[in-house]
Amino acid sequence: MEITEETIFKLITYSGAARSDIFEAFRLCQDGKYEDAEILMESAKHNLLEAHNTQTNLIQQETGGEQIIVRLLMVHAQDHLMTCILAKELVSNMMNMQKEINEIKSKIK
Amino acid sequence: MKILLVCAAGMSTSLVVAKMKKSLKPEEADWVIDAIPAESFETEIDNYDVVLLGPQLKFKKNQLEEVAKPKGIPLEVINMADYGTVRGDKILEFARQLYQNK
Repeated sequence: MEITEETIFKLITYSGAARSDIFEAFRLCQDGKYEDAEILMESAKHNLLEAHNTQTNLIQQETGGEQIIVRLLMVHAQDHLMTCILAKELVSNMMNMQKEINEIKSKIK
Repeated sequence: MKILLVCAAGMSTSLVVAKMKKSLKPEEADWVIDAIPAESFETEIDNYDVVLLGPQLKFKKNQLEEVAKPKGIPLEVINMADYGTVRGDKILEFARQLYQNK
């Protein structure tokens, strides 16, 4: 089975949008806008889940015995997904660090 | 018109470009549509009339707009649904409108 372009683009678009939200959330966190940052992280979580489910479906089809043809574009899509999952983990931790930094800064002032 | 699409690696957007080119009207046959990664944005932008960003670059919009605005080049993020379904026709129409309204 060939993975459709539609499926590949679903992976790319959802992962890409999630990653964009994650980075924007971090910038908001730097500015002390924690609630807005959380809203974006939630939206990222939702989009990332959509992307993740798309990939899980493909993996399940393959483990179910379906022969799946992987194109370079699919590899690229998974690159998007993986980068985004990593970004989410790292930025979540960075946001906690940033909050502590902001707190320390406010005490110094 | 010359349209520049910018995304993270310039790969997924290449497919969008191919679809957009198919949607060009006969009188638009000389239009140029290219895809580049974000890293090349500053060196390439002067050669184009309109810039479209992939939804994955939404977070960089302000930063890229600082470069595009003084040059009078319109820059917008492509609608996520149109990008996800590779609607070259809709994305091309979006570029036409951006150019007309600039």
